[in-house]
Amino acid sequence: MSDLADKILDEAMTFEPQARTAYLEQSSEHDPALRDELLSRLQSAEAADEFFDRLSDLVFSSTFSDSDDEPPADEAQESVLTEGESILAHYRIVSLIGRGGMGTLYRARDERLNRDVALKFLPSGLSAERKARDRLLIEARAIAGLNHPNVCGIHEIAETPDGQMFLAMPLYDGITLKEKLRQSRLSIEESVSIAIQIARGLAAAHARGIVHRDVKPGNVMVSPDGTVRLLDFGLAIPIEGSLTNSASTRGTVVYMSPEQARGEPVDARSDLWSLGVVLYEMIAGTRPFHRGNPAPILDQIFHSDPEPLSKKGQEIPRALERIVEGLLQRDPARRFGSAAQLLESLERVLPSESGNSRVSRLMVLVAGTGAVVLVLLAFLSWPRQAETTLRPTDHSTTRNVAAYEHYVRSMDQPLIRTDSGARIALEHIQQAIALDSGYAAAYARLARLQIRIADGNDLEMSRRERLSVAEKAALKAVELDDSSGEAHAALGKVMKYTHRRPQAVAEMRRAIALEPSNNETRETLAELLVETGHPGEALLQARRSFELDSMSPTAISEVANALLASDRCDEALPKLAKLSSLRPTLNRAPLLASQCYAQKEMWPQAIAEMERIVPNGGPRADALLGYTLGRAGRDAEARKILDELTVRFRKLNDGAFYVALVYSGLGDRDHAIEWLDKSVDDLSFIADWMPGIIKDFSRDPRFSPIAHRLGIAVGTR
Amino acid sequence: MGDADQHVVNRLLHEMRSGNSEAFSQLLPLVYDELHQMAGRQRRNWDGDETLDTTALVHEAYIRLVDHSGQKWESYPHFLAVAATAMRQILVDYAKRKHAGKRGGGMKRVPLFEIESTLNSSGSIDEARSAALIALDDSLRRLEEVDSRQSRIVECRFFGGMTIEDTATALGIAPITVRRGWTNAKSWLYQDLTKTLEDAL
Repeated sequence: MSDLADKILDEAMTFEPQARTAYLEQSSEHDPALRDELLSRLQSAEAADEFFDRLSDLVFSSTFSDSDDEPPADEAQESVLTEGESILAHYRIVSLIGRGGMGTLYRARDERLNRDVALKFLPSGLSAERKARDRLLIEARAIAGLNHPNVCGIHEIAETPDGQMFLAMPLYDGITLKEKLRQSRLSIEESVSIAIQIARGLAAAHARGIVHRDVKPGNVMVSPDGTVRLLDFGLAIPIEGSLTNSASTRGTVVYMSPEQARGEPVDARSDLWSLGVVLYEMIAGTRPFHRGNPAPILDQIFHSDPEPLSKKGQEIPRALERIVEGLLQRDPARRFGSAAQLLESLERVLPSESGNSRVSRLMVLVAGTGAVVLVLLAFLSWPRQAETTLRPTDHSTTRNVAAYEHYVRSMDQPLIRTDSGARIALEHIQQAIALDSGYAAAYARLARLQIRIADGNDLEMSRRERLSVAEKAALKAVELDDSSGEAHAALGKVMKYTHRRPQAVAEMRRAIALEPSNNETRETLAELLVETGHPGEALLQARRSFELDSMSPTAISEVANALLASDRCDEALPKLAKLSSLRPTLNRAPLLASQCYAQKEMWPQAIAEMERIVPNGGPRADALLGYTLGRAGRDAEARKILDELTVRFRKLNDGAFYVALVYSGLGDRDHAIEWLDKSVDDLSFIADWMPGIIKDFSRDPRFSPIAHRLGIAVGTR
Repeated sequence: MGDADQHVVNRLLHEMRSGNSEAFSQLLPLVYDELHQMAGRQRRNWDGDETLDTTALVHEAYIRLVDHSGQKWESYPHFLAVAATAMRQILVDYAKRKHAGKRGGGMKRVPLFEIESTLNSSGSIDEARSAALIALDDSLRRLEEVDSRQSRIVECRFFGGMTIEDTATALGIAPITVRRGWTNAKSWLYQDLTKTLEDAL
């Protein structure tokens, strides 16, 4: 670890993630060794950063957090009602909707009035507190009399004979704002529209002297028709003797006003601060205060101003920025005086905004990742997972429903496993493009399918022709949407298959920067790193992918692949055994295990592994079996496979690499090198599943120039 | 904290600022006790069950011990550093108790992937948090053997939620040393924890 590297890395970490790689490359322009060290350490530092963020969220998320999805820890303590059970004679439980900070929610049938309702049972601790109960009753009655379109109504508040309090409420369709924010960025217009509706609800409640005390995205319900309703009014009741142990303010402090966080009495202006935090989050896409450990959040709430919205890298109307500033004033006296006053200012930002149920278009938003999100769009632009910039138009997705259906069909995994199925998928994606020629995700998909077809028995085109078609599609995808991770990943994959490995590595890194949670991309990068002689970083990437999805067989095999490449077969083998038992139909585990045994010259085991490969494992499996048989001294069987592969090559002009493999197993170095040379041209050389064998080749000096043309490393650094 | 205690605390903090390392170990039990009582009070106030709300604990500790006047005081970073260590102990003790209860006693090393899978499945978040805390604590002990300063930096930054500047002041080192140490420590812990995870595979 050099001081210089420490210094550059330290500086790089102060930049936005997207800019870091470029900075490192620029700082190490003339020093490839330094560059490699830096890139590897950057990956490691970023992985660690991300991990610690999650860890901190986990440790400091509360048991009764601001969640609508996390069950309380003391589940066992709460009695669970079962389907069909009757409550107070006229409610019959239909199903459990969820458990959260504010208790347990059921769907129930009101048999008296013949309608479905939501029943919310309050936490038993709250039910037991006399003072809290009294206050809750008073406030619930006030809300019940409110009847405002932006406030979730209350039919009644009652208690069971054993003293459990519950609320009966109307059942609404929709998702919480918290979920909505998780799904995508909101446009300015939509953010303002939601804020206006929240402000209307608050204004009505404040006029009756009711303070919400817990305004946060998890308490804002957005219905499919665009109506926004505030939930859980007045439930955040402070409990005697404790500063923070009020019912639902346990959990996050992010949305608390300074006076509320100090445990001081709050009034309506406290709700306005919280709305300011929500509005900031909707506009900026990030919260004004950090996440995780509450101490620094409180420190910020009490002592420092959030980063100005204008620095968040998008066009924000100045008037709107001033509104947020006006809401996030630490001194309540300097804040907006009332929700009504705020409403006036908000409505001036959007003069065309007419009301809460404005005419909206229902449309299917089609995300390139395959998730179909049904949303009500009041505005045409709806950026997909954009974290730093708001894109006016998004070519990753399509609004053509038919095109999207073809796209989805092209992704059918079981279908793609067979050669004929892959062709059907290809037809679908071609249809999708015919219907929407600006559909970037479809072009990326097209490129991948072409590669998939090239990997099987391709009877129509030579491998080179097929890959050149794939390259055109991938380039088109990038041209349509340069910020699409999928597009760059597809291009990287083409580069890898056409022996432009350094470029492939760069594309994959770019793709990961754009879409860090895409494991497939990360695993392909790990493979490339093995091929280009960086098994250490490959291991790190593979582990990270495993971290993100511990059930993923490809992540486990990628870890094993990197271990094999680092001569750590003893560590790789138990993982491969585990993988084989988890997924007996995957060929990759036995393929890699066989190479481990071959490296240890344990031939019976090496062959036994190859025999686990399912029939029709393709030419790659055949070739590896031939190689292993040859090395084990079973020449006649190896030669039979050699003949089949040679015939296949003559017929399809593909698979010189496989022939070379078997020659190498038979100890025929001269022929092996000759066929390896051919494999550069027919593009059949695939190193990623066989790091063990590449090492074998590396012992012959004649392999060096070939390796150079393939863009792979000879030996490892 | 009573007035007499407050007086002792202030004296010890003053000694800490002037470089007396003994002061830290004398302060720690005082702060630990205070936090411990706070946690106990919170639990009783709620349901009488064994649920520790980490956010509420830090929140209350922050308001009562650190920011009671709303003003930052001179010894603020030094105090935070002591509170960070105490917080680590409280949280890990609690996690171990919780975990031992769940598994019928006896501690075993928790593979990290369990944390992820607990989170992914419908398992309780409390269990995942216990597992994470125990794994992190183990790993932090190993780091302490290699580089005790880095492990202190992690305590301040992670458990105390301290800024780079406050950590630097409390530990008497330069902010840039804290920043680099924090980056390196996270990488070290991450790799150590993933190794645990890999071993468990």
